[in-house]
Amino acid sequence: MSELLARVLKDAFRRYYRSHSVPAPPNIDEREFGVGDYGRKIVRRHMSFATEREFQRYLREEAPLYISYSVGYFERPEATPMEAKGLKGADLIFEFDADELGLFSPKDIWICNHCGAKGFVSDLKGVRPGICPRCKDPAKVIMFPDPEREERLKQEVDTLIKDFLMSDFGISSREISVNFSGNRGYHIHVRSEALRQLDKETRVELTEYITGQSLDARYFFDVTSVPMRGPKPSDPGWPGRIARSVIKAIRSSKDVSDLVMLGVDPRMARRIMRERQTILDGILRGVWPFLSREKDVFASITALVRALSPFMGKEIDAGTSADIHRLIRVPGSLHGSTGLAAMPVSNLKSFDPYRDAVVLPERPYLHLHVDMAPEFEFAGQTYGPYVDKNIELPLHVSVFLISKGVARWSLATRD
Amino acid sequence: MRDAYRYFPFLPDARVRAQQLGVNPASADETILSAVAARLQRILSGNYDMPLLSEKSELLFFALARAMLSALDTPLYYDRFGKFYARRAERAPSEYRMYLFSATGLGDPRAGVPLATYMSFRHVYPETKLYHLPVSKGVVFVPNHVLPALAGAVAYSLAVKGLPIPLDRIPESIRKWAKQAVPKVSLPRGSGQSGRWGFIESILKLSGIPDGRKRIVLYWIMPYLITVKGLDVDTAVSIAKEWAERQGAKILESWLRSDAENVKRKGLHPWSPQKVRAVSPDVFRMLQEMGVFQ
Repeated sequence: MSELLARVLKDAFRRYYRSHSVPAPPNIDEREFGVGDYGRKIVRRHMSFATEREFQRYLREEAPLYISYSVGYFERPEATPMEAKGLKGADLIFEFDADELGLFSPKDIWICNHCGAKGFVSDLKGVRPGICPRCKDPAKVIMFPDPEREERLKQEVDTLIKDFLMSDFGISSREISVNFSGNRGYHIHVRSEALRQLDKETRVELTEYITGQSLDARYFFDVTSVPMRGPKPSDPGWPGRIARSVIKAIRSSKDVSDLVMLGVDPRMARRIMRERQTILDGILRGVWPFLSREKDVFASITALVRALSPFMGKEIDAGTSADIHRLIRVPGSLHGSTGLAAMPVSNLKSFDPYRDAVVLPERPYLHLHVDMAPEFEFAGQTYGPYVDKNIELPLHVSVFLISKGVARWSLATRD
Repeated sequence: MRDAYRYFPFLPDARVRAQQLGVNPASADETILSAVAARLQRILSGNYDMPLLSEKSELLFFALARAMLSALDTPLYYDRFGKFYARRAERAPSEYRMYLFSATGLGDPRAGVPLATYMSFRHVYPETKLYHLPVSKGVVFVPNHVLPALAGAVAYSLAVKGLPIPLDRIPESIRKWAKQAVPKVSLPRGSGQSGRWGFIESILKLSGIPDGRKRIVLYWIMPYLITVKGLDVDTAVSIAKEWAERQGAKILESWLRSDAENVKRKGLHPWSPQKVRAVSPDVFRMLQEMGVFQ
């Protein structure tokens, strides 16, 4: 991002902060803050504000391109080094980024880090996004608005909240807030008095619970019983989730190959399809007579659950959840990489980040050279597709394209 | 299960039971105090396999031992005292263990323990992963093999809860016996120190501390001067400034004042040496080398 663009952006940010009051994070006098500028998300940290007023005055006067606050609560948030701050507790944060969850879209663009080749993901025939089809080196994937991906991302957030945080962990909806990150995903903030004191290791374990990392299905079966007893769909936690996953897989499979595709051993898959109804009735009662005591059987079950569970074996950013010194975007502030607002989401179902979080103005218009962009919706308008095109676009979408690295600004502007 | 107090004299209503049995720590004579000090000394030396006494004796010992521990006010001794009761709870017959759970509000852990409670004791059974346990609505259903360790963790936390007891609530007759409970291989407290914050007085007398001076002000000096000694901001700042100059450190008065006001506003207390050892081992080690901690 050029300094000139940063100046234009800064003016727009300042106008935003002067006309909007960004609410201070709870317990503001115990939080550490960090701010960023010109492509560096944190250039200064160990800042603190005693009151919301002081915080809002800072935003109005300085209009930082990025402002983040600590998930931790400290005796002295401004003290250095970190250990001098006196940690009192920390919120629990879950970070959902579309790229980390592997939610790629045909609209995305890949650019090879090595040979510079680029193209649309839709043209990658059988090659995983993230690998250059020409030289096989790692490629950067640039994500564009795609309603289908947005829906899937929101579904995953919803599953985390309902199936894990509320249903398993018993966290009330009042203690959970969902925030659009301002870029590629969502942050789920859990502000629970009971969980605030959890240490790093315990937070890692909660994340592992959600992802089911290293889960071994054998644990839930009584291998000494005849017929073998195991989990029922109504059981709490992972045992019930396993039973429900297996039932779902059996019900939705049309033939043996569907089960094999989900990781089930072919011999077992044949037996399941042959005795389908009896097996389903048995699982509902916690009886699994079709299972032998071989280790491979449980590996099959684990593979099947892995294939059907939303987060099992996937990358929820455990680092974010475990890092009690982490700084995270202030809800309501602007994201300097996209110009979108990192905003609290009250109705996840109807939320559209590329409509609701667009808060920068249309003006000034900027003359851009766009290397490559698909057709996409932004602020209620359709843009693209563009390939090596010179075009004049509103400020909000210009900032978005430039920050994605697919457009350059030529100096002429129109008010 | 009345005799559960033999195993667990820290149960929430132990005081009521002690009164019923006529246990009165304040009237303990020299013979009893001497026996208590000797038994406590063995515990503080790491001998956790003491024979069970009668219910009355265990209740009396617990009350007097806590008073003596408070007079000694040494975190490592609290830890050993807690471990003694943890071990006893782990090895108690299962019906006693279940009584411990129900008497402390955990009910039958097999029927569920609040997630936060379970996780706060998590370090004692690291091999049992949460995802292998049934978890529902914020409640963890604890398997049988985890129950002894959970009982131990609960016992530990209750045995050391509320320590140290304020010295003004401990009769002089008990305090003077506390020294007899110190293990033969004693824990060094630094030369010439007394009381919980004696080591901060030692730090205030030092000069030429080469490093970590700001952190020492943050961790100890300012909270000690303002919260413990009740000095006003101006006095505390001038003492801290003079101290910093003696160390050859250039610490801005505005920085000291800002910290002093923060300490006063939030009522911050000095950190324990253990906390500093955990978060700033370099500072702890340096002071250790200078004789503050040995």
